[in-house]
Amino acid sequence: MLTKRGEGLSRREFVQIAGATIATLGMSGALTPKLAHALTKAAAGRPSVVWLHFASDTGCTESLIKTDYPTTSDLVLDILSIDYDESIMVAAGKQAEEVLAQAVARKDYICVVEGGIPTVPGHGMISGREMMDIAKEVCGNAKAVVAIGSCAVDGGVPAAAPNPSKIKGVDEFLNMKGKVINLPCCPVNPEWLVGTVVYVLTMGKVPELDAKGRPKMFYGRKIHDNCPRRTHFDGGRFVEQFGSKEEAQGFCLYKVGCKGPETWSECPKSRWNSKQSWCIEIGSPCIGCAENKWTDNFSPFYSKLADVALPFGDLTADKIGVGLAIATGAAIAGHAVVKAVKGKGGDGEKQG
Amino acid sequence: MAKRVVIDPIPRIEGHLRIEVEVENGKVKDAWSSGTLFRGFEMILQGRDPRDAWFITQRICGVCPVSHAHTSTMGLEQAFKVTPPDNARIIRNLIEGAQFVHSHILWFYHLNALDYVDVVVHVFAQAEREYYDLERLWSDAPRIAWDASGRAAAASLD
Repeated sequence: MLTKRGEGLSRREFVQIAGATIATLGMSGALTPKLAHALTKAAAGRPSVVWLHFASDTGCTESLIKTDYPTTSDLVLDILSIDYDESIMVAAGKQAEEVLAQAVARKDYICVVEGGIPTVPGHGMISGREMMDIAKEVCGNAKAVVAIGSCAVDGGVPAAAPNPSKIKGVDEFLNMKGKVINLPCCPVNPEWLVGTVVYVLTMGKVPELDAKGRPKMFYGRKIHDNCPRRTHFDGGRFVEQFGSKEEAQGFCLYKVGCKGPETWSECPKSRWNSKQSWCIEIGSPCIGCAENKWTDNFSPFYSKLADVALPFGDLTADKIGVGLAIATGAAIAGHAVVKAVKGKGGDGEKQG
Repeated sequence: MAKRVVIDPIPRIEGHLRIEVEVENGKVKDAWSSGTLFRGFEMILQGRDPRDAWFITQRICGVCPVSHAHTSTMGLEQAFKVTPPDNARIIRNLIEGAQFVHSHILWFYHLNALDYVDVVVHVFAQAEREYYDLERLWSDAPRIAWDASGRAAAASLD
């Protein structure tokens, strides 16, 4: 069953999708039938989507095609009409260009952008055209623009210093700050993308965004505040070195570089790979990839946060991160003092 | 008179690719393959903490991030003359094996299968074959007739 084209989804399937989405959005399960109805109605019109690839590694497409409910084929064949997407479409060359031109002329599509826009001439071309020109034309005519992944939001990894192709995020390049829905993370979590799409389709409006254009429902809480290892942080139990007994015991990863205290995302709740696990759960310190300019701001990744010169204004959407970052540092210092006093020179630490 | 065939964008791959072929008298005279996006990962890696490298190189390609991360780590091991313990080697091989399975399934079902199951597949559709004059690419090859059942007619197989 490679394609289900034309068959459509059954009512039961819509209820399943609605149920899964409701859990993602953190709504009451009682709303499931309502959402299923709205989704059925929205899908009947098969909203048109144009998916653009600029300077990215296609990792966000990879991420999306691993969704459970709805599955990729449901989403692509029965809910949305994905009119242009270089990663999955059949057409190539001239035929592909024609498909894109037709969609742009209709001006009735949602434009999803994956990848930042190289602003050095000749560094990013499709069909012999500058990505800069394609972005202006295709995003400019769209009903709504969704920037997915770090690259589309702020340039991402390829825009890290020295940013060889002078890559910019979509809202910055197009001067559309506040008009683009930003879904940062490297890659974007498929649940956040599908959740946003379903929200727009069923509610008929854009979800509430923060000052950086991110939906508050997915970027409203810090990883640190929902971390399953938080009790170890509060108790002053840290992994000091990889390969140690502390690591085997699952202690807090702050001192080996975890960026959870300054990263806003729902990773602890949404998790990854069909809710199997996520970075901190498998013992890897968070590298803060949901934050703007993380490749530069959070480098070196294995050094603890306090050692990193951070541009504080860039930490959080609402600029409350400054106080929190300092408070985190103070908490760590406090723990160190308490431990030193209790352990009389840190004997406990050596034994541990 | 040489004819130039250009296919750009090439869909269902990671990255941006352009193929140009020059055909003269039914034969390919010259061909060019170009990546049309420059990101400069080598320049980005310069001057960074070497332990950060594998986080960055795995983001070269979203289809095969594991292999990029793995080779980057092996590069560091060579530079620092470190031999990983057996457990590390086994775990890496397991992850690389999972990547292999994932990558092949993805490539076949999501990227390649469209060429076999859809009637509008570009290179097999008559209109596209005529537009790009694809038949001329093998115009000097012997022709074999096919009957309606899909079997080659016995006579032309000699």
